[in-house]
Amino acid sequence: MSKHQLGEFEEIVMLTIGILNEEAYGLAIKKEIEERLKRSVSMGALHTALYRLEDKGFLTSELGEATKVRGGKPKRFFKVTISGQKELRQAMEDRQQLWRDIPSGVFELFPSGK
Amino acid sequence: MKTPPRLLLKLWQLCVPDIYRDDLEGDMLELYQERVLHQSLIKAQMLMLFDALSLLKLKAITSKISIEIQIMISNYIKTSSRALLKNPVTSSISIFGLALAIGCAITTFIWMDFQLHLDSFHPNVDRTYQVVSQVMEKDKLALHGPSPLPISQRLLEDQPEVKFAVRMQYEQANVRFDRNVFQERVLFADPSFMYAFEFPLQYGNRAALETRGNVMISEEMATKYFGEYDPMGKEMVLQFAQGTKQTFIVAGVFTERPLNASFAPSILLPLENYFDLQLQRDNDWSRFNSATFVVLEDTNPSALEETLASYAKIQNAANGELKVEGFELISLPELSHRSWEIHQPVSYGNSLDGVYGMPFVGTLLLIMACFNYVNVAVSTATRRLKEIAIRKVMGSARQGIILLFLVENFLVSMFSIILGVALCYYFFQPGFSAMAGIEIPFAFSSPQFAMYFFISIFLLTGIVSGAYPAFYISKFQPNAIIKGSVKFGSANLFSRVLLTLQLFIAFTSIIGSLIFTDNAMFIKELDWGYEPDNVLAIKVNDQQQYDLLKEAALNNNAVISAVGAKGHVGIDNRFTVVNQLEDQIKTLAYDISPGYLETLKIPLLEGRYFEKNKSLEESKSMIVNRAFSDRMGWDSPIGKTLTFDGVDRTVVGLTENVHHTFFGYDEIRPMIFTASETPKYNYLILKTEQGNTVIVDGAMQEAFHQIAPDDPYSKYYQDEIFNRAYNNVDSNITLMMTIAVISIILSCLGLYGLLSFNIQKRFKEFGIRKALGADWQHIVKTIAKQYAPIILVSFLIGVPIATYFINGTGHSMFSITKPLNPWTVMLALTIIITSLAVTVFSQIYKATKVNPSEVLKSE
Repeated sequence: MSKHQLGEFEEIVMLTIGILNEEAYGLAIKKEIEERLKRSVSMGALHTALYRLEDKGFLTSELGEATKVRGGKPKRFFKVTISGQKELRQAMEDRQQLWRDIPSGVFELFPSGK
Repeated sequence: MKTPPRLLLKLWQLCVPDIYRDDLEGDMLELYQERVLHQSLIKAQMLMLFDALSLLKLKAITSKISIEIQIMISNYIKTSSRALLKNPVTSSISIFGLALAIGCAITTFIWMDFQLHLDSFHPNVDRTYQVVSQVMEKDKLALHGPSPLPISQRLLEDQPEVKFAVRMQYEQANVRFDRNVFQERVLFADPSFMYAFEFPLQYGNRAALETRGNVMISEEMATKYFGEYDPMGKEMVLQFAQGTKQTFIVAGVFTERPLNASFAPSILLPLENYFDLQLQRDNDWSRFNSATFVVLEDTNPSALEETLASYAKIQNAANGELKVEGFELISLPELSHRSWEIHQPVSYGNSLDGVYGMPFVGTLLLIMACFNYVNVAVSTATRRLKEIAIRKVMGSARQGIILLFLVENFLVSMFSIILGVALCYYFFQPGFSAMAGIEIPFAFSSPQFAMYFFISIFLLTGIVSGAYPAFYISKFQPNAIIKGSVKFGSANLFSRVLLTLQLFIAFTSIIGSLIFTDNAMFIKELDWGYEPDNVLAIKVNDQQQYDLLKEAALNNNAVISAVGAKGHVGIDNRFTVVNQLEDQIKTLAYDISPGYLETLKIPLLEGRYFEKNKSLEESKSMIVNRAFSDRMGWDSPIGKTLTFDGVDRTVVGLTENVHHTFFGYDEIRPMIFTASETPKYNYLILKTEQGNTVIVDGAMQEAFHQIAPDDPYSKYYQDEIFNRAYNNVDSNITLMMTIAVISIILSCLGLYGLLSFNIQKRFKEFGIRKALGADWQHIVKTIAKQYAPIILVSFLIGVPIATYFINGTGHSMFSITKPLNPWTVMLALTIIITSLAVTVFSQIYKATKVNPSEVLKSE
């Protein structure tokens, strides 16, 4: 078990950054989450999460090119660091373990357990 | 690219944490454009505001404010919002009242700012002056816009600090392109016009005015004449008043007229063409041109004074009709505000009284709303005395308590400002623009001004109105509070004074507005002196056009009568001077065809109208109006003789007075009607069957184009000629009513907030009173004792002062005033008393319905 516990939203943000790969900047992340998970994400919430994750060292960011649509302002692209990736895997494994340990037949929807 | 309003952007930048400043702004701009595209402008702005607020938390986390202060402030914000939410009615009243007043204040200040920065888009604005002539008129110096022609040339030669000197001349011309013919006001100007004034260009360049055969047109003109075609290089034919025709090539198109331009050219021609037309020498000091502007190297015009004074002497030596006493240089920023005192001004604007009057009213409303807020805040604070005592006991310093209250006030002011900006943006600003008849952009002239303005509003509402409760209440000793010896709030002299003041302002503004409205209504219902309905006046250029068009008109079944006139009542009023012995009488003269007076239904008092088919006889007759006869001192005018226009004439008829201008724009003038044998009519006047004027208009336009293809068809519906003035009156009514309604709302809100709070506080008392046998009359009496004196005092002071004051200033607002109608005052009083009574009784009713068993049951 690691020291930090990833929050659900933090986990979603990091996974989305992974999906977007080279194109993971603020607005793209927001839109991707909103589209995939059908929930609205405020800029404040997203950037608070991004800031915290960067602070913990799970994300790095760098500024990209400026475009006209953006009033000459650059994009900030995020990447998941190695320790971030470890954290994600840890979170995934924890979940899988939990799933595996549910006795079969308890969830009617999933009669075979996993 | 769509960008959000500047104000919103500033707010955004305030909320955004430094670490993601640039990229977040980029994200926001990108998102904003998508939202504007897919949703709506309003929604995009609302969402942006929401995003900005959502980022505040991150800003707090990342900024370097120490954690203790963060905790303290967030605790204050929390307790403050709880306090606000605990009395949702009173807090929303405070916020809504303040927002209403702030919205008004923003609108009026934007208006003032806009008016004070007219023409500021010209880079030379501070160094540009108009040379205005001072002319002696009845022992008084008057300012005339036109200046002697040679003055610009001389100034350029004599004064090295004059960078540009521009002569301008306005003329009327018939302008034609293809089938489009209209009459326009064209401007001749020196080529340096383009450099002295930098009206932005869409096509062409600034040097275009240097070529004699070029014309530059505004965007509006380009659309009017050329539609969607490219106007550049097209030929326009201009026919001037002298009859000469000339072809010009479009060599430049201005962009849309800047909103804050006090004047802008629509059709601009090189000045040399004007000299060609007039055959004038440009060194003739007795000749005048519409305006001369100079641009100086530095901003000090005093160097020119002496030179200009010497020009006055040269001008007088030229022995022209008009002798100039001297010249004054009026700077461009000042010019539009002084247009009212200049004869034939070129730039138009509001006088400074008007410019500062509106923000004054706005500030007054804001002060009223602040009073409201102070009142409510003071009484709400009394409920929190125990909380304050506990805080103090736990070690909070007085500063801490003050800060607590200030934070609460800041919260309220912040919400009010946000709501106020929204109210202003969506309601007041568009409404006011529509009323003023000009488009006023929702922006301040400079970010600095906007910043100072909002900071002052914030301080005024936040600190000034929050200071009293904050400093006063924080002073109390905890033991005194807990012991219960602090009595405060309900019997507070301070809040009574404020309420009185507020009601006083309300009384004044309501009575004032109603008196103004009453006066405006009175003007609206005044009789014109004749019947303008179903009358169509068409301009004709010569007698042949008149005859042909009249024939066409008489063939139309819907035309009841067709008559002619040179000069036409209400549309073309021509003054002339009648010499009677030593006396000179300024008179309006109309040369009409028989039937004219009958067509307009101008009532005859004595004698007869002109008779048809007696042109020789009638050419020696005249009809005068009552004002003329009075001016001559005639008892019975019929049969009197008078020489007019070189002919001895006998007066055969006397008509009632008619209004040739809108009421108050000019007084009733003496009028003469003649019927010459060889007329030169310039108007064909048709009376049509009820409701058929528009159809006749269409038919006549068709006929006119056949008769005179080169001339513009211009017509007037007689009943619409005063429409602009009526609209003005209507705007004044709306404005006055809005101010009155807002001040009623504010005072009712204030009273309601205060009452609902104080009465709720006394529910237990009422419960005990009722349990001990008090009936509802008793309860009403108890409450009335507290509030009746306040209303009565403000009423007794406010009504006489308002009536006196506004009755006194009425003359400066309307040139026709009617005597004060006691019913108006009564109506004002009824409105205000009813609304106050409804407010009070809704609360008193609640108090009388108190159920003792409920309010006394539990703590």
